[in-house]
Amino acid sequence: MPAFSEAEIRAAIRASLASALSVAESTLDDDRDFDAYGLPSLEAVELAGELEDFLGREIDAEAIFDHPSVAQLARHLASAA
Amino acid sequence: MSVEPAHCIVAALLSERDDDADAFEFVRWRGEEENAETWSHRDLRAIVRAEAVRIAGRTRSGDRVIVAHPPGPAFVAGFLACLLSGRIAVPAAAPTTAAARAAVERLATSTDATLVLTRGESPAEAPDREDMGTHAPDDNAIAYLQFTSGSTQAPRGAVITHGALRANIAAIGDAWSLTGADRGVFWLPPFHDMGLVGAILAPLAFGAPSTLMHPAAFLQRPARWLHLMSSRRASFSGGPNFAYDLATDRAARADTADLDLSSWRVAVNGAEPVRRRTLRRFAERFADNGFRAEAFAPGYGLAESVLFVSARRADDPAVDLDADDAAPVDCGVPGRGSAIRIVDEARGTPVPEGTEGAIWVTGASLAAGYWKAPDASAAHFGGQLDGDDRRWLRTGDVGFVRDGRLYISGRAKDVLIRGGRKVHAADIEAKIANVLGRRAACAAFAVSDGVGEEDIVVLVEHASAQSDADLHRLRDAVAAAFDLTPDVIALCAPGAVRLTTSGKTARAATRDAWRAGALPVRAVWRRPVSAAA
Repeated sequence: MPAFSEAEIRAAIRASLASALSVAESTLDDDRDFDAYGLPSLEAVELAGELEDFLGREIDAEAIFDHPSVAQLARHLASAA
Repeated sequence: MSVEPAHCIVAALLSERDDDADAFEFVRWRGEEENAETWSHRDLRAIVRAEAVRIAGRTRSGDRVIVAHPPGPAFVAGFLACLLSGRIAVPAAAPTTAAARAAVERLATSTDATLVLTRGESPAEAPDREDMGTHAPDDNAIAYLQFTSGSTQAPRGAVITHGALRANIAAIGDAWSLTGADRGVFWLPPFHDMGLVGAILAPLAFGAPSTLMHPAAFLQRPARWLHLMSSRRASFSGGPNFAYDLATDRAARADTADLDLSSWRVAVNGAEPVRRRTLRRFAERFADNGFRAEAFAPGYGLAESVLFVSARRADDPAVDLDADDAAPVDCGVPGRGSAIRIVDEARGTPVPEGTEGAIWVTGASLAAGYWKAPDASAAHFGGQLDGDDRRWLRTGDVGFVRDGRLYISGRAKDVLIRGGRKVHAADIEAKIANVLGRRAACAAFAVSDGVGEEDIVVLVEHASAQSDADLHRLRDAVAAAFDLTPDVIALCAPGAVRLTTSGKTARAATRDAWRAGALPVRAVWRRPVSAAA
């Protein structure tokens, strides 16, 4: 299983989120909650699916709810590897 | 345990059950690995009593306590401890985001709550006394406030008494003959009526062990729900209509080949419009897994009646899956202790059998009103009929009764009207999803300038590039199905359609954002002004 740094995970989350929202990555704020972008729960869960593909491991969907921003989720996933 | 719950739900849960039988389990996944945290009735009793002492030490009898734990055992224990200690529980979504924190703060302010139970709360202060507070409430005592996620108005807290809760749990058990031999599996959020009463309290009251999971775990892999049904040999489960669609569409065949759903006796479908097509597709998809279409139990309910109003009973004829998809699904007979009238609200009189009208409900399950909202309480709970001294709830929903059975045709406030033609917003949204061949986020709503005829706007989230052809295809489909051309069809980036906390389309909020020009519109079609209506 490849290990990714927090910075790499953060970049992956940003790419997935930008794609899910169809916005430029430069407009994203890493400390903004996902739901503040109007990301519905189904799509938040799909975001988890994209991250799973990138990280090559399963992501607990609860993590998206418990760590609901780019920065929080990256920190959580890096520490829970 | 008999079908009649004890006088008080808390007494039933704690005084009569003190053994090693499973009360419930909460399942989490770490990769493929499934981890169950199981609580026996003895565990539950001990933890709830300790929590009740802690809450009693920090609050006074009758205080409001916000229960905002994430879905899991702590939520169950916190909620029951409030009831045991004579505090009024206020279930809420966990404050994990800024928006959710703000919602909890609003709830705490509007209920003058003195305590918020949530993960990460400050460590318990030492209780200043050892007792649990009041724990023998009478029927009129308030058990909890169920805040509704109504779409068109600010959320309101239905005041649920111990008597109403007990009556509704009894009606649920009676409708589906629930006993300790049943087993439930649920992924529903515990702070909504269906997840709280249907998934947690009713199974506990009847001694039926339940398997609970986080809603996100279900959304991520809908097949998990079915896998738990199979591995637990569960008999009782349910959810809103979309859950069945999600399971049908997203569970891979390879992942469901070994499922055995033959033990599934009661498959409740409620809380949003029940679609016959959904039931038929689910039944066909899982027939080889032993799922029996006779298990479907479409129902109708709302928080103002605790949860349950009517449903197809376990011994009723099966749902007719071959009838016209556009015809409303039979939502059964009123539960024990409840009555339904279809009313012409302009005249204030019941309509003849088979005629569409406003659905009014009365009975022992009715909430006492809305918390600290006398005007709204009077408007909604103050329905009166000639020669009938009962208090009737105006549900805001529209339907008809045929042969004593209830059929729902829409929510009054979501009726879109054009030239005398009425179309329910949910039906247009379902049509759009049908045309696109996926579960599209879509909202249909009316925009009024307060003077002329309302504009009907259909807003569809669209992830990929779009074209005029897409817009015309949607317009044509809606026009063909409803004989009505919307004024505006707009394709927007994902996130444009506002949702309630339970994932339902929040049409009023979406409309407001649309009017404010706050939505990321990608393409729009407008009905030519010169066209005849």
